[in-house]
Amino acid sequence: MTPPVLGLLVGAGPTGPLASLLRVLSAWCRPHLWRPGVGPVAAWMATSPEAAEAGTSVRGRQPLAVWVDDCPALQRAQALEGPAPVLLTADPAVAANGDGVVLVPSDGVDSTRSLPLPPFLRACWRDRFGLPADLVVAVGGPGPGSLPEELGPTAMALASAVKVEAGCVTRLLEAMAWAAPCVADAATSARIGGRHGVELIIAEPEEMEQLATDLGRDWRRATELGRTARRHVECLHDLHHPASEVAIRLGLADPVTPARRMTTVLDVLGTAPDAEIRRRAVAALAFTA
Amino acid sequence: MENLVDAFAQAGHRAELVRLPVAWEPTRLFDAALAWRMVPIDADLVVAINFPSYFVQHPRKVVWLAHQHRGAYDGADAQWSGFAADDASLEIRRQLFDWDCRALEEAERLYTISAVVADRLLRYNGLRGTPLYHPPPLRDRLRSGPYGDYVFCPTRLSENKRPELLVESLAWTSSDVRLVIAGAGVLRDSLLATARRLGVADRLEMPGYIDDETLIDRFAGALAVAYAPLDEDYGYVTLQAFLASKPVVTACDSGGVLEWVQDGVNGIVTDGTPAAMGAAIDRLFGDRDLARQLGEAGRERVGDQAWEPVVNCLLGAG
Repeated sequence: MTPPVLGLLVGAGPTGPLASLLRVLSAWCRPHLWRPGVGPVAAWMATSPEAAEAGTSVRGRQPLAVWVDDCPALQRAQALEGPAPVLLTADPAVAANGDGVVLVPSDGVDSTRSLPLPPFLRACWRDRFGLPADLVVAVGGPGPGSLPEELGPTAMALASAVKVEAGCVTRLLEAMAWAAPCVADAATSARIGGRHGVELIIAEPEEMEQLATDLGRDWRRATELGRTARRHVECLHDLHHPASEVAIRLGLADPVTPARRMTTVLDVLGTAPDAEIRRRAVAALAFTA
Repeated sequence: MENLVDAFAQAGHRAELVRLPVAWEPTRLFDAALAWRMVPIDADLVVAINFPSYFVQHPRKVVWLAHQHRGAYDGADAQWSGFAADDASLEIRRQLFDWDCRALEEAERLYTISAVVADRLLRYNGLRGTPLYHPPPLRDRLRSGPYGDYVFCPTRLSENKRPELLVESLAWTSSDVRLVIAGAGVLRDSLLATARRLGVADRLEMPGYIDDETLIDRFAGALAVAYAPLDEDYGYVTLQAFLASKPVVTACDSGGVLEWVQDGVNGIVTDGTPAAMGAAIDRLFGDRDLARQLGEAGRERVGDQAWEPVVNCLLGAG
């Protein structure tokens, strides 16, 4: 089945975290920069109230989401003609000022694309692949010895600990989403609110290798840090939940109904999309169809 | 768990025990956990004890953890775990780890039955639980008696309880000490065969399951209790032995037993070899005064244990 088209109305100015959000939204729709000839559009997303205003004649009364950077923009968006738009922002203060404003983390990852792996299972996987028990992986910027981008997830999943290069905020969040024991510098950690000894280890560059090695060997500490790191990402830096909320409110995804309560229970438990228990739960409820 | 219900009742609260059946095959492990998510519990407080009951949803959930499903964690290599080192098994274990963490994080307070379980919880799930110790069954009925000619062990006859270690240790004794292993399990026939092979069948008694009165009598008349399971969660047998003023002979890898037994104080901690266990038993057989001294120290160690502090903690009042 062809996914519905989400028409994009782009105005002047930076799009901020919208690009990251759109990548996650593409699970439910096809974001498409609007131009004549695009074809039927199921819903619209505007990068500002002005872009939404400029697109009034093409979007009609279809569902609309509007990005707002500040409270004045929020008010302008609320005054737009047509059905009340879904309002998106990366500013918590703006979100607090309006009902139902979706808060999108300015630094975020799709937490459903990574599965939390604790140290005792990382060790099993490394053993299966003949990898060393101590496997500290450096992730981040380009440079000699850096891993190719496509190997990043595998490395983060298998590593005994992950060293994150300075400034690589997204890589740090990805590693934390894998519940990897992480070591990073103070500035990068501060960007995402990471606390030393709670979600990760903060260290100077010259100390990182040894600290990462030691952390990978200390399963108690590493498991605790990895678990809280994953929760930190889920609570404060996850793009999946705001994206799914936007998708539902724009009519691009099925709304939560009583019949989906079991699925919701499984989602809350972090159940993998292709987990056998999902199939079994659906089968158990088949008589209600 | 019945004792906990009684303890709540004695404290003036109405408590009910809720159980659901569980299927232990790896592919069906999540069924009962999911069922617990959907069970409606109308209560002021819910206390969940072990997997999968801690998946229950309740605004006031307190977990007093006896154990997770150890087969997915530290017991994965054991024959009984049902898990292999293949991709599917690793993913099931990963999923269970994630589910367990989320369900346990929901608890308003997280306790464990012992420091061993707390350490396991931290090592495998990254969660911190507070040990909360409780009295064993028959606490008020166990009594002391003469230090007789047999070493006693009431236990399930299964691999993790290591009853074969006790039978093998009997072969290393030079005294006339007897060994009484009470309990049922899959290892019964192999234990008897081992005893015959080692020439100690005449000194081994395996009465099978015994009732409470007989259990109390056997504790009372024993020289000592030999109890050396592998990485035990808690170890009621240890506490029951001490309540009967009997010393405990155990092994250095017996887990929760070692939270109570101190070598040379109230028991003997061996390296877990049959030779060392046999030597420890002989030592007590040849020195009844030592057995009494260690046993009475054991009694002192557990004499104050009561249910009231446990109830108060679980209610959030302690």
